[in-house]
Amino acid sequence: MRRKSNSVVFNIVNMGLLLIMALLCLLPFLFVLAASFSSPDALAKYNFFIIPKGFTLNSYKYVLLSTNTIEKSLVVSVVMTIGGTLINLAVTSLMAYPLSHSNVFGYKVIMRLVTITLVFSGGMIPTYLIISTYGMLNSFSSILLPTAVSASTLIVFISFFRSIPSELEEAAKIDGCNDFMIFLKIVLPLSTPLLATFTLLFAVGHWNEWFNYVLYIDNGNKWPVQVILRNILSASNSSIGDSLMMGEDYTPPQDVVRYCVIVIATVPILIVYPFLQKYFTKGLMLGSVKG
Amino acid sequence: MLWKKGWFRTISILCIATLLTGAFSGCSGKTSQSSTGEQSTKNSSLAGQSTPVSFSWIVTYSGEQPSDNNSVIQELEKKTNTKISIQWTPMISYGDKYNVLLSSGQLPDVFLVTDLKSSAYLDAVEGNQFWNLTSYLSDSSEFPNFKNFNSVTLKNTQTDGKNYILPRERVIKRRMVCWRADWAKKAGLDAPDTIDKLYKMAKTFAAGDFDGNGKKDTIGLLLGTVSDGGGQTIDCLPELTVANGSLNTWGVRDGKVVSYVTTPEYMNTIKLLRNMHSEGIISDDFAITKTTSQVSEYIDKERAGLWLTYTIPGLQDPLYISKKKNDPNLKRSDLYGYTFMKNSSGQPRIPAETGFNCGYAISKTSVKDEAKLKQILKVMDYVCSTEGQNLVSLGINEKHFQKTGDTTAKVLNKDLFSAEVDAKTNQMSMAGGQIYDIVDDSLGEQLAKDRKQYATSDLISDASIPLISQTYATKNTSLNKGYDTALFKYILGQTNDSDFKAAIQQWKTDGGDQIAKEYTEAYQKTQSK
Amino acid sequence: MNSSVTSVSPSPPADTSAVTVSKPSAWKRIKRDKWMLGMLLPGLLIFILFKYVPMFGLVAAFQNYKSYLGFFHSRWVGWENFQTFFNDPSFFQLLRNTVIFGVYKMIFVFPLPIIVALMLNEVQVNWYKRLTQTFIYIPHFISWVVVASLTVTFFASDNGVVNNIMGTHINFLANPSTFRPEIILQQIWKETGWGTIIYLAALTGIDPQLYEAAEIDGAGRWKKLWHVTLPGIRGTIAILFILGMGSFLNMGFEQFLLMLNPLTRNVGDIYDTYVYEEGINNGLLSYSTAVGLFKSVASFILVVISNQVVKALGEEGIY
Repeated sequence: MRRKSNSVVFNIVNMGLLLIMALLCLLPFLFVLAASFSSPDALAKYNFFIIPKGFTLNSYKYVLLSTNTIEKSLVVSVVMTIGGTLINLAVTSLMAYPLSHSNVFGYKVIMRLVTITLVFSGGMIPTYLIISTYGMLNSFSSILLPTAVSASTLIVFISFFRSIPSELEEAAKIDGCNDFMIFLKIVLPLSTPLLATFTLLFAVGHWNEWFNYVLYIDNGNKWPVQVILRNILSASNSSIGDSLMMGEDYTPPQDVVRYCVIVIATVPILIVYPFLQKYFTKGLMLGSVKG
Repeated sequence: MLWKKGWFRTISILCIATLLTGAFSGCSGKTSQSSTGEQSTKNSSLAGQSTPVSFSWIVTYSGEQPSDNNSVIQELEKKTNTKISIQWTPMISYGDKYNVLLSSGQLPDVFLVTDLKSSAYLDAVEGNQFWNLTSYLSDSSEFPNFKNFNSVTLKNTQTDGKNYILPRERVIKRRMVCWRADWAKKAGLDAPDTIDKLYKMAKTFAAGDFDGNGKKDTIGLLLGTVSDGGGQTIDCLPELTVANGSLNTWGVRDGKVVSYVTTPEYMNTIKLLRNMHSEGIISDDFAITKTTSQVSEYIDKERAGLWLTYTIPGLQDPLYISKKKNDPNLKRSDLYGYTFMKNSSGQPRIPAETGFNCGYAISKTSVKDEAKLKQILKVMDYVCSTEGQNLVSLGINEKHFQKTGDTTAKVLNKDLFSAEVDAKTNQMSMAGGQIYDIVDDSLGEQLAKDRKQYATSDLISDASIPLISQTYATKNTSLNKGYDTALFKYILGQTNDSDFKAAIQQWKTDGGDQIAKEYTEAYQKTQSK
Repeated sequence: MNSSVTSVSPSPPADTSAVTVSKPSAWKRIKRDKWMLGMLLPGLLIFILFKYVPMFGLVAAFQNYKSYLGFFHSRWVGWENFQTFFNDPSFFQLLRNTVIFGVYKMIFVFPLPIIVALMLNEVQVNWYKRLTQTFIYIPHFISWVVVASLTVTFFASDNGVVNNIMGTHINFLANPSTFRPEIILQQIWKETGWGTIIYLAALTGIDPQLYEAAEIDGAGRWKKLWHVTLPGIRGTIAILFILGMGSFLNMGFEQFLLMLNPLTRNVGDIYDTYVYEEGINNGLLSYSTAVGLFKSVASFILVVISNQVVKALGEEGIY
């Protein structure tokens, strides 16, 4: 036990407030979940509910079976999420560690360079031209490489690495370790909360990515599930006017389908968090400094 | 301060370095483009008639992703001896992708132009990015099917007197009023085809409890909002203004092009809406009811029974299906009625659609020579033939659809139709006058017939469609923003007559008058030809 | 107030002057740092290749960009695009709206994840803590499209859930005075839970022995909070504050595009929506680049200033 809890009142108020917050956040999602399992006319009748009305799996069937590309796209999503997250973690931490030492050669220039990219950017069109020039169009590298590291996440990593006590590094140096080995054997294990946090952040970012795929990759076989799902919803929201010659008899996908799509798009990545939760507490190892 | 100096140095070095590398990559960017161009030229010179012509075509789609083995495309390739590389792009992302492609000069051979008035398009025309198709369109010996294009539509899609795009033709007579036929029957009302009848029906619906839920919460006239490039405006407003004697957004009066906003009949229409709101016939929420997402919700929830629209609810409409559960013999015509508007003297007054929705242009940077252009146009010509029109719009006879009459058909295989044709290959259709009507029931058949019957004087078109105004291209967005707010506030009763008149005056001075002037000049040029 | 964990750099203080005799030569330093430099090379390449090189596109702000001429042949117009922007009647409205939202964001949205993280930290019952944690970050995954439609469902003046419960007819959504609170509340709802994750990770890095020491000194809950916990995450708060200032003017246009309606335009129109509408609808690359550049410069100044402020308060900044 780290600290005595001497106020029952405080605990009740604290936990109570957290409960209210949790419910406020949870209820709308429960509605989405319930709606996705309900029959289409339930939404016409009721505004808001959290238990499915007219339970049916038809809408899920419609979404999952209507196109043979869902399985392919799920594979793409999973592989790109895992691969992308690993690349992000590797490149970002490798770059952040040296920059947590302000005496490294080139520190000031590089830090200024990084800070500039925090607010300045060439924009979509020059970036497209560059990626095209590098020959990366239609390849997964156009998704993985440009986003391999970003200024804001790099800066947070640097800030965390700075808090590693220098005595540990010096001790390792005396034992003959070079900087890379210190990084691998000492710094990384001590940074598990940081890495766990950003594994989640990176994974969510990659899982939700859709726009860059449509922009850089023309081959629909390489698209992840987010693109497919968005398209299923897109019918009635098209801004390029109508989608039909006949002008009638085309019914946009019902609202229920929209909710199914949301559930399918979010639940897989939601599942990742509980697995990472235990790593958030590993930082207790810092007690080893005195040893 | 020291850091200031250091920053200045760092930034300037970085700027120079960036420009240099950018210059280098910019140049090599252009070469990679031209190499693909050379390839396609080689193909065409080898081709003769035996080797299939290959070209790329960007087609938008929505819904499920089209597969690589789309049978309609395969049939098209067979009939035209081509290898078409279709770049399927989701409709929702096309706007951004199109901008990027256009601005970076990396277009496929055939691509969709969405806005003939945008600066990006006009600049591209100025920069000779597209082939001038005017002469080919009138060449009936080589391209016999281009005559199937409606000549007015071709005129309307010209830029500077020349045709750069092959328009995707659409139905011209479309905007109508829809209502709950069962409610009207109960109330003893006939079709609301004039403004007065419309007002009467709206008032009756709002006062009664036709959905039987015990609450007087029915909206009399359901209005929605739609984006107008700067913000939101009232959907289908021209329907009311035209029926009331005004114009369809822009029109010609006394040889000049004027905006409907400046006409007295427009003012009367808006005043009517304002009164309807104060009487509780129009909902407070109409300003936030977006047509694309929320109007149909209101209808399905039976909160409204009268609305302005382009289409009638289909056979899969949730409300129809749930009503059918109680009454299996219920026909769509029992539930829904539609009519086109007339003016107070009984003459039809319908705002005409533009007659087209986007169009296909052929890029000059990707298609380098006329020989290749002609080969591509031959394919387009086939798509414009009666056979081709029906192929891309309906699919393969006996596979996707089945002919039920001379000009009617029904969908045979709904799943296949939606996977391959609907919102997929039907986006490739251009000339559209010979496409069979899909009719599923008597209401659909009636509507299809009605749409084709009209006298030219019945349809009031927007005069600005074929005209260009530079001020419109640059200022339209910001003008709309200010004006729309004033319009909604006035209808909701938050401002008074003089405020609204002042807003119209503001619109005029900020740019409205200039746009009208430029349109008038452009119009008079076309008249003098 | 010192951080509870040492953050002293391992070598003598970084020397900014280039004339000190004792500094080893450049080559020596490169050799000494060879592993470090090798490690940061991949990231550095990414920055240069994908973030720096495309910046040549910023020249469009000073040109009359035409796609067929490209960036290198379009006509130079100097500051003309900027002048048009500053003379646009809506300029001050945009500025006012964007700044107000930025301020609201920093005052209301920024501190909440810290407070909630601290609240979670105080919970002893582990399963309760984990459960509530998981729930409060779910909104982050719900897209703005759904949030907007749920907002309408709840707050419509006509049969909205809230109005139904209260039996009233209040117009929440088409009302300019409620628009800003709406946006901020939506953001709080959506992002607070997610924001706590980083702070929770930071909290685990506080040395437990410091708590024990405070315990021994007779410190109660609140004293511990003030003397151990808060100082422990001061560094993280500082960094995230600077990053927040960098995105002060960014409000994420998707939320706004969905929520704006004609009646709330004059309080809700911000730079991001303006650039989107002008750029996409009019295809004026030069103009939208100029506006974006203006915004970037303003954000940059904010970052530099807040970095200096943070350093003056004794914390480490970005550089």
